[in-house]
Amino acid sequence: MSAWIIIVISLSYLGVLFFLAHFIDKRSKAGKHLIQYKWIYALSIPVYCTAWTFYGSVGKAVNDGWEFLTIYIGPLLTMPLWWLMVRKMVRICESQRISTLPDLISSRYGKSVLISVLASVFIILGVIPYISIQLKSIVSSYEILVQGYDSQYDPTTLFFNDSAFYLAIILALFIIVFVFKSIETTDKHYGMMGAIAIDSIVKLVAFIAVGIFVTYGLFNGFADLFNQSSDTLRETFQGIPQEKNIDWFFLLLLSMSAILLLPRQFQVTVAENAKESDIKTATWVFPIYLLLINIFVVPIALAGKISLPSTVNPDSYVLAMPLFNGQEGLAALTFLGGFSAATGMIIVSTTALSIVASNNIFVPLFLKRLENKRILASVPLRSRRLAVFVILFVAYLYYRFISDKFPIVSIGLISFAAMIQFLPAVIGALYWKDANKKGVVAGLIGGFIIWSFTLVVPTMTEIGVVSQSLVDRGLLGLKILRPTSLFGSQMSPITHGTFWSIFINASLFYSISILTKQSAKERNVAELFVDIFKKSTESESLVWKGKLVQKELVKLSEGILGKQRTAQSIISYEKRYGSLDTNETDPRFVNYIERMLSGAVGSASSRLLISSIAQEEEIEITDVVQLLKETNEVSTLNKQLTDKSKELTQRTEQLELANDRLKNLDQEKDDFISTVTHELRTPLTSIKAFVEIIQDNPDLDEKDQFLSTINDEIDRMTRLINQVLDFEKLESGAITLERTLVIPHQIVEDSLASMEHMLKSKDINLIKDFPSDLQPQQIIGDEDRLKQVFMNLLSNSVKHSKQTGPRIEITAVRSNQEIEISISDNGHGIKKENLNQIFDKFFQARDQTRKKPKGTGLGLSISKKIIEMHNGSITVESEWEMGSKFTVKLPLELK
Amino acid sequence: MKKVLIVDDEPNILMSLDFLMRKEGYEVFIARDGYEAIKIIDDDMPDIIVLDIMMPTVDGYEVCQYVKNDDKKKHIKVIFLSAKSKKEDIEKGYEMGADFYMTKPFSTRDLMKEVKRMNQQENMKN
Repeated sequence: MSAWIIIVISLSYLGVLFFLAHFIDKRSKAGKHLIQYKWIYALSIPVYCTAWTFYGSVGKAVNDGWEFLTIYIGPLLTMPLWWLMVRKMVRICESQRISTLPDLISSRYGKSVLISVLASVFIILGVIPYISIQLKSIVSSYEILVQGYDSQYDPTTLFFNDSAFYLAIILALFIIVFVFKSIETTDKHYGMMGAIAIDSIVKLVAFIAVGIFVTYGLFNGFADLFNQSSDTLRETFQGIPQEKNIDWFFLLLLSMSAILLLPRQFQVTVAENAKESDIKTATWVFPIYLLLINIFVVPIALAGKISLPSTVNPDSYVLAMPLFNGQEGLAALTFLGGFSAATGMIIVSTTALSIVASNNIFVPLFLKRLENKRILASVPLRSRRLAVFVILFVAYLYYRFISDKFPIVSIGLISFAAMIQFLPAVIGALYWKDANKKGVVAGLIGGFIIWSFTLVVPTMTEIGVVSQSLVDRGLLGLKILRPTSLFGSQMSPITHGTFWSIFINASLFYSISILTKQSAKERNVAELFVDIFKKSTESESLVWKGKLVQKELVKLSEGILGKQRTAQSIISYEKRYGSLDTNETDPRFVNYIERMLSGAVGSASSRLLISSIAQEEEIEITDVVQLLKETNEVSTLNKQLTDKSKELTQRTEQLELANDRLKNLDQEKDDFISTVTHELRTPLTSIKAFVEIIQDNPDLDEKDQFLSTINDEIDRMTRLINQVLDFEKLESGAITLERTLVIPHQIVEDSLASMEHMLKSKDINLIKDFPSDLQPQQIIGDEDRLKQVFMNLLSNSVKHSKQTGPRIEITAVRSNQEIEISISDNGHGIKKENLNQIFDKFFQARDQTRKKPKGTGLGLSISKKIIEMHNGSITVESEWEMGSKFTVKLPLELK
Repeated sequence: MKKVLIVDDEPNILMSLDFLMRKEGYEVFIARDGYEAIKIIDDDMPDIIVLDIMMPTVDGYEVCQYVKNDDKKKHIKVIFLSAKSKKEDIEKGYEMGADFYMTKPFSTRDLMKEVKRMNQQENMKN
């Protein structure tokens, strides 16, 4: 393929990418997102998959079998932690306006310039080689396309002839134009994120395209590839060799920390996170992405080994396969995939590193030396832009003079091993309140010395910077201090370096944190970080003591953030906490502005700026304890308030229930009164009618008959009034039983006797079945009351028995310790739906137009009440048109 | 001779009204519930109905509706005689098309006057 076609393709791709980035940026700033940001966010995480993945995975698979997978399994293993750990980092960084890993660490450990610079230098040193291998991959893929699949790249071209040099400049310009527009580092870079998401799609599509072409176009699927492989090749993929277990463990550990801590990952997952819930989307999109991009690694490795000449570097199989088979179009797409993987990584990493370089190294150091501590907004912005060029230029130099000595993957892993040095400090920041600055400094320095000694020094010998004798004989000629075999340990280089560096790092961090005291200020921040999910607002949780002129503070902010932004910040502050008092120093406001400045110049610089205009007092641990107590009191108070309001809700519910009950009672009373008045009106109506008739017709023949009717109606009214009063007394408990020994049989007989007249007048056939052994049985009870019950039941039966052939049956049986007396009639019976309500007071009051009450609806209620007062029960059985049977059970008094 | 139908489930009220109507010379029909009342209305076509409301089976309102919704029967005068004395009950009675509503206990004299007035009105129309 001719060089200019490839250059045109690359430049057009960058052009389209830049245009889309610009477009997405404009739309998002206007609040019109093309697609939901969570998808862009989720698709930016695969910036993890660089050219190293795109080309290097196949190379690694050819040499080491399945081991390449560790780099992807590690991140997958962290997925369950994301909602806990990444969300915590996002929450802390959002509230403290932190945008880089060194800033997170320095914020937590005393905002010290030392830690800020230390962490930043380590990160930059660790990552620049990694950027350089991306440049290398672009150039070597370019060479392969131009010169054929078996080209051996010659890095000795002059740099102005070198495409990598121009590429670095183009990418630098992109970052300056699209990323560093504003001083505010915590702003979301939608354009950059959009470009990264597109890169992620392009590299995935390209890789899968090659995979499908190779697996199904050149071979007949996975099985065919394995069958055609040589035995030695197949053995490479026969499980994991026992001796590799420890390597697997450390590789997994490295990639687990890399996905969380690599500057580009921290940039996209933490700094560019717009909403915590987006993390959830990422935790399922990213694993699927990793799965897809790994499916065809082994097939391509096998196919390359089978069909390509042995001179071809396995790292370029992905590109060589289509070229070897004459597929120039596919080769161009593949090149584009690798190109996008590399540029995506370079853009994000360089962005992150230049923020680190400017905010965490340059600005704080610059400020420290500055007498009046006055800087303009242009200083951090310019230094950031300059840093972009410096970083890319250093990466370029590294690529030109060093990188080609090593395979891609080993440089990547050395980078990973550098990043894991931050793991103890970060975990301490998130979860361990006692971790302190001294521990972190010791751990980081110790870790990086070991890292350099065990992993970087050996690589230096190859380019002649370090003499081979150091590696062979050990430091100071001591065998136990050989860089690849510390204390005589035998491990593969990466495992060896990772183990010793992280071991020394973590031990120093832990032991020094335990042995030394942390400052009150640090304790204060530690409480805030570790308990970030428990605190409602960040500002109340930080102590600041001192005096400053608030005007100067505002001026300081205006100098860096600009007048407009400062005014906006003050407005949103006042909205939240009320108006500012210009005469008093408001510590909360000082903290607020300090945080705002952190977003622009980093926390260490922001600290320096604030202390330059204030007379600060050292805070004491007692201040922190006091504040903690206060915030705890606030949260206790909050809890009490919630409890109280819960209680209140409960009370309200209870009141509502009581109210409902009262309303029901009220309704019942109304029903009762209307029933009673109706029932009183009926006899009154008759009485009034007959009285008028008699008055108007003094010589009436029927006079006596009418007078006795009047008398009956008056009796009826009297009965009713008595019953109502009776019921009231029973209800209110005013009636007590006069308990004596009574004989139920006798009571039944007495009741029948007093109703003899009624029974006879209706010509009722009375059947009694009262066994003779039960007749003398006694119970304890109130004779009159019991008689009242039986008379009520009997008169109901009489009223309801059949018009023709009325029959009433009285039976008694003994069951256990009780006597059961039943009274049944052969009347209409009671409808099933009414059976349950028959004993309810006022039952007859229901359905008033349909059925005129026959009584007060109180007879059965009174009876039930009386029987229950005797510890007995009354029940009814009835079938419609078949009659009813009432049964009274009373406990027997045994002699 | 005018026909009067008395509908009530209270025997003593029926007894007193029966006596009064006969004395005035009306032909009297008696029903103990709405169902019986409708049968008599269909068979004997009374001129006036004295109607209780609360009754088993079919209630007074329904009887009144039955009469007033039928073009052939709606000339029959309906006098409600009920213990239901609430305003809304009375209004409902008139809505059903009643010609008069008396609450129990009632004055037999007022009732007889009303029956007489209705009769005269009817006579004048004819």
